[in-house]
Amino acid sequence: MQFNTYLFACFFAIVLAVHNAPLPWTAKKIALLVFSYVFYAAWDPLFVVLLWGSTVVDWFVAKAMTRTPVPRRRKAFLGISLGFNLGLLGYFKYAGFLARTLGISWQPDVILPIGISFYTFMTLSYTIDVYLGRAKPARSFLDYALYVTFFPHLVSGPIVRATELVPQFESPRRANAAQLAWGLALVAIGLFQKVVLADAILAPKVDKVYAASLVHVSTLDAWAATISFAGQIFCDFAGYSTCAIGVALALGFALPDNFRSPYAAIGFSDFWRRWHISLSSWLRDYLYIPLGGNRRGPARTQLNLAITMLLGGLWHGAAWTFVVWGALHGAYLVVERWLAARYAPWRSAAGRFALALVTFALVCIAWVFFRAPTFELAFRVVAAMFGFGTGHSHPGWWSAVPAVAALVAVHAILRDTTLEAAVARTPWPVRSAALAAAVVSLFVFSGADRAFIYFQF
Amino acid sequence: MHSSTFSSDRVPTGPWGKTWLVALAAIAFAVIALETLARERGYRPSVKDDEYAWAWQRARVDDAPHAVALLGTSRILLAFSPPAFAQALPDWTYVQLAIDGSQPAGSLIDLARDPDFRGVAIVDTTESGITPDNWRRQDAYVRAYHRRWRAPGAMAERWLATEVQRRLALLSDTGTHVLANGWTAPPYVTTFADRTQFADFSRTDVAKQRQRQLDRIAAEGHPPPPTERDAAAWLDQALRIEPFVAQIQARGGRVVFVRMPACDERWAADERETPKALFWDRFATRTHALAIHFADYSALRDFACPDTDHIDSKDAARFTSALLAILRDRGVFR
Repeated sequence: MQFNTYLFACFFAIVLAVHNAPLPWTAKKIALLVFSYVFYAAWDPLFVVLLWGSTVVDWFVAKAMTRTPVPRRRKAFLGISLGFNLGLLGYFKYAGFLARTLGISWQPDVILPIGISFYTFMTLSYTIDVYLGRAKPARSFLDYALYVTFFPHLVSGPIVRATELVPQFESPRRANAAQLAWGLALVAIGLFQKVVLADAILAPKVDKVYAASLVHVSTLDAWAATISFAGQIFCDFAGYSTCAIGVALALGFALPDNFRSPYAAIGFSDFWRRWHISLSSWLRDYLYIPLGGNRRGPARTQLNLAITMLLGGLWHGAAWTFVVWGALHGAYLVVERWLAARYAPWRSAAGRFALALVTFALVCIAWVFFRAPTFELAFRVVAAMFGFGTGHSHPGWWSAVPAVAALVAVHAILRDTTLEAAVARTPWPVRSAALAAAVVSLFVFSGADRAFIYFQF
Repeated sequence: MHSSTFSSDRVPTGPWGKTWLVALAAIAFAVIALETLARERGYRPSVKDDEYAWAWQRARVDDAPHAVALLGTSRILLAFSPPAFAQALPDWTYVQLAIDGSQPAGSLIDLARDPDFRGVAIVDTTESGITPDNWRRQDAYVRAYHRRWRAPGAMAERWLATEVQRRLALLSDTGTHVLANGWTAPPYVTTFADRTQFADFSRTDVAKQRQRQLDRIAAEGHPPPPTERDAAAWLDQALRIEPFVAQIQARGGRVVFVRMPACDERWAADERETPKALFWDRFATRTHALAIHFADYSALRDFACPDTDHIDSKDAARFTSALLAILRDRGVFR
């Protein structure tokens, strides 16, 4: 079930009604859990079994780890959790990719279960934290199952830690009027980003170049389509996260931020502190730091960065284009780290502005590999972006670029603040007008019906 | 281990009740005003057609011996009139399964493999539509039907969206259409909840539509006229559909292949590439289905095609009545 559907509107109305009914807290949590399974089953009921499997295995593994003081046994239990979750992910997401890469004719006939990359990372973070003693196992299976399955974050994040969400289920919660109102406002903002900006305005311009597998791509068309995609992927994914945070808040729960004006980033470390924050912090805590982080000298730090970003790229999709996307970001981080030790141009305002522009341009170049279905098209587009374009330009394909420019300007304005702070400074009639405009535009631009891009991950 | 910030914890202060109340009033006013404006400009409620809409309709043909399944392409989508059908065959129900820009064989094969289908399949096809190289063109739709129990959300969403879209013109992707074409050119094709369509060519630039078809014909080039050998090879391929026809007819159903009207340059190109005498007529004598070619019936010939390829939906009632009369005379609706 997607947030941008009539079905979700009906579903959420029922969830809100039940959650605000005079019922015991445990009954409300059971209802939330059942609703979350219904939410997931709407896509394919059979894959609920996988969700149960991941939930149950990690629940018992975490319990078993705390019962035994023997380090070897604790490690074995962690191994079970890693094996089960990464095994699921590996089979459903990467087996076909691996077979293709190795030239094996056998191909698994499987459909990628929606959200598997997200919920396996959540349950893994739980068992790893329990193993490392950073978290205690959840006291109640219901709270733990709800942590894994809670529908707002279930299929596309944010990737929440158990320590952030389980405590919220331990005592009764209900949104107050302001939380409900702001939660619904966030849903409206998120849907506006997805339905109007990503799907109606940006995606058609992106598809002109990327979905058409053009033989000739001009320099201007390549830049316009790629900049449009930079806007589309942000509005699509940040739109989903904003909806998820809003839906949870309308029920009285807080989910972590996932985006913080990433296109105003100055440099790539800054970018990754602002883009898909819950994934980058997961990769930092459960991959980069265990690899040694920056504690083993400069060369090893650079290697750790590169490995983390490569695997981060592969997490997004089972294709070499995603690996190259991750590798590019790894290279950006390595070079940035090397340069930062020698120069500091961002101390002046002009230097910061120039670096922000360079960061955005290089992020766009990396997006080419994220979006292009084949290397052939990706290299053609990149070549065009570097001035080796061919064919005529199509000015009609550039019409979404001003929308992305406006988006980047908004990011620059909100760079050192939050949406909440900006809204707090906005007079209420302006808030009303903005909300009305966002919702009305959903009616007017409701036809595209595109799935959220991150659903495929 | 905490690693995150929770901005949503810090709810912006302010009179949120008043904010939402005024916003909701503005939304209601704007939606009513825009809907009125859209209808004044000629926009009509139109349902989005997709594989799940098809799956809903496909489910209706099972266990209904008096069901007429319409398979094919945009030609029969635009040429079929539900009121004319109801008048001609009051005891029968139609199910529109034609798919724009597709070929019909995939649906026909699916119906053949379905033991519950015992109705009449009217298959709008060109000569290429039934050969095996086009059998998989409707796979996505057929798969959506057979996987419908594993996609309950998509099926329910299609039903809900259809119920809303059939009532509000604003919800027919009006914004995108206006951005691309301006306010003054509403879509000329309307899709209804049962997937039937109506094309009003008076609401579009017919010259442009016609030119698009002519460009398509020009892109086909001028291949050399087919030889006897080409025609024989095609017939071999076309007759591979026969086991599926036999399957349906063996359990009491009927299959009718219909070559829909085409006009002017399109018909001339079709005759050049697949001459009726060499292709269709030979198929008609060999198939166990009934084969109706528009050129053989004066009642089906007498139609103008504004874009050379489709008859105007304003003529759909006349066409549907004429076709059903022919089929009734041939004993199809027993």
